[in-house]
Amino acid sequence: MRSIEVFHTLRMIYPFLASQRERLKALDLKLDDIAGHPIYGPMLDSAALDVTGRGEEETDPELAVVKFTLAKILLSIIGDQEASREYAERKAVEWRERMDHEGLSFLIKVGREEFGMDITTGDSLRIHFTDFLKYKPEFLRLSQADLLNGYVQVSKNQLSWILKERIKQDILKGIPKKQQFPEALEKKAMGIKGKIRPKRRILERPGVSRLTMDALPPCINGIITNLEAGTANHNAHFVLVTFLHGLKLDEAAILEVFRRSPKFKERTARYQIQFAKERGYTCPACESVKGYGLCPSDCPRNNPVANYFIFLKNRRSRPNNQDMEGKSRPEAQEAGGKSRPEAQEAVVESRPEAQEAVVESRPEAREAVVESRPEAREAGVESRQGIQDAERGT
Amino acid sequence: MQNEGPEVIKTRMWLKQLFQRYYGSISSIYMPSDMHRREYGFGSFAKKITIRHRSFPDERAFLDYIKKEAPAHVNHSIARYKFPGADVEMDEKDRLGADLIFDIDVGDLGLPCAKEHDPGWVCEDCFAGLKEEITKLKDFLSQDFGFTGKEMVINFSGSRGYHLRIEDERLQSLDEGARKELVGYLSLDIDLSELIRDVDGRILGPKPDQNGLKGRIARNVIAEVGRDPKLESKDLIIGQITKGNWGAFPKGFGQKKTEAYIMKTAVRIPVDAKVTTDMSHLIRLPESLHGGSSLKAKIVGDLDGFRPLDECFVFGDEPVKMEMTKAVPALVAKGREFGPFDEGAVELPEYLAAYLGAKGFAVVG
Repeated sequence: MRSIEVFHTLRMIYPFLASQRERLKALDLKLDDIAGHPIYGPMLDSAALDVTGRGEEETDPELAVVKFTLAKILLSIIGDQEASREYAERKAVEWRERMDHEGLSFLIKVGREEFGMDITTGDSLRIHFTDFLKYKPEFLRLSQADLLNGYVQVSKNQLSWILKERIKQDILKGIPKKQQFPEALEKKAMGIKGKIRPKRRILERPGVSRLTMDALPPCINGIITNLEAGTANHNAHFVLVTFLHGLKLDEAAILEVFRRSPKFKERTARYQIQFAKERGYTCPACESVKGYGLCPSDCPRNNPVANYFIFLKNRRSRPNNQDMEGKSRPEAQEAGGKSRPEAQEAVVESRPEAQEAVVESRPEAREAVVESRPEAREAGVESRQGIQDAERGT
Repeated sequence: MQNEGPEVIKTRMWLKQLFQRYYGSISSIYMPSDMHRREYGFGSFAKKITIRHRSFPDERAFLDYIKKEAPAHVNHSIARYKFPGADVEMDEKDRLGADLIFDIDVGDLGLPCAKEHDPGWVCEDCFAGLKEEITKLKDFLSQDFGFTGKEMVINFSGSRGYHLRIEDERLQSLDEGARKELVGYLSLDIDLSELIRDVDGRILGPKPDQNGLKGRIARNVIAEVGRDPKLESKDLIIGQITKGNWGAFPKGFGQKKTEAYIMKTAVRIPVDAKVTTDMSHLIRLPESLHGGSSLKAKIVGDLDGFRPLDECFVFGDEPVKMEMTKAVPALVAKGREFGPFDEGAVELPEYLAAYLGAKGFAVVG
């Protein structure tokens, strides 16, 4: 039956689903035992890796939900909101990409049954405008939407983006409140706290006070060229403003970039700049930029901001503006010969060490996955806190 | 600004007695849903809000308070809180949700009559303009957002506008960004270059058969083209817009001019963005009295037939000697014609004396 197939898929790879919490409950795991548990113990290392952004996909549904729950407990112990947000964003993006390969009926089922969204499928796929406004990505606008009787028409891909935001919020809500956890978990959390920091420093670059045009990644270069021609679309504006915020340029400097547009309206531009900052929007990953049709070529890192710093470093060490492999960077040609006087201007602050932090040797924790686990239910002692209770912060 | 001489103070004391008499006579009043989760704020005849962070467990306690204090202004929070009465920073009140309320004020309509009378005066044209806008808002919310007449509660603000609130739980959790986007949709405060684009010299835009804002804009422009006496080749222009091609306007009609044409013709509802988006906002309690007019902020059932100066007076007909401090144009109140008035002594029925006194056009004689 179709519904059984759908739920089978749900259980396989989506540990955020409510149905998986039931599965976790059935395992009856106790937090005191988890570290030494022969089957689920290794999931602690696995969860720790996931929190630091180096985890790998878990294909076993039970292990996946244990890992997911432990990751949230570790984040609770670490107590760093930014680390939590970063984790939630990363997992939500990962699961959205996975969901994009599912059938539409699966997405509708997740939206309706897991998140209580009001989705209709009459003549077209529509979602109630309140769900749309609450969870839509920035590149979707109500003013652009096909809105009729309270329902916004969306594509399957747009629905997956809406679900992504909902999943992200659900993950953040699911991080338990600060409390005393067993020592093994506390120790593990403290052990990775320092390892999150180098990764996070990439996101928390000191920033630049001035834009170095010949360090721009190709996508941004292309967007600026379109901006100057007055043909940059809304997505391009969004990528550009979040990119410039990512460099921590101040509002006046960002405004100067937008001033290049023949359609420049200071009030609108200021609003967009401030709105993106207020909402904490970050520059989309290269894959998303590719999805907008704005990425003309591959870069060494997966985010335009990270690429800027890579190119900036290369520019300083290679005055002939070549990339790490010694090839000319594509954007050097794409600048279209337009004169950009500030191209030569120096960056006041930069973070040449940023890329060093990305890759570290990965411990072998994931090897611990075991196929058979009949003994799983022996794990608990009634008087102790169950893993599923900790997750809800009770 | 009216100077606060002894006559003004005496007038305020008189109004306070009238308000006390009115509130003393009522046995129930409109209460917002979850009334015990709301923060309340009260004002005097000199200032709209002088006390806030008040909460009441039930309607009885609330009624007792307003009967005793007879405030000139009674306001409730659009938000519901866990601790509504806590005199703390707003984020410590622990907001549980917020109503979606729209406010239309005559001052935002840009009506031509505004230049012809005192800015504090609300003439028949002002009332007609307000009714037109609130009707448009209702249509917008019904057609595009699917709300029924039952879910939309409209009340006269008591002075210079209308409030429209929507009773739908799903709206409670909309954040400020979502509310801003709603306001942008209604008031067309959006970047039109998102809708009209110059693509390789072709100006592409929305089609009239589209839903949402796009279709509205296209239909309005087509209607305006039909009316515009200066435009030639109207059929060609309309035919092209129907296909989404906005480049058939005469030479010189580039993207900028096209955008200006849209702004001129579009249905834009001048809602007060602050009221809708600021979730810590306090709004007048429907059915309470407005200290700046003495009128009741009446809930409107039949919008078409509603006339504030017929239905919102609550005071009597007894003659009251007043001193006009400003000239007032002729008006019709409770079906009777009055004025125009010049400065000086005049005898008026109590309801009109209270109206002109509260509005600052007269003092007790």
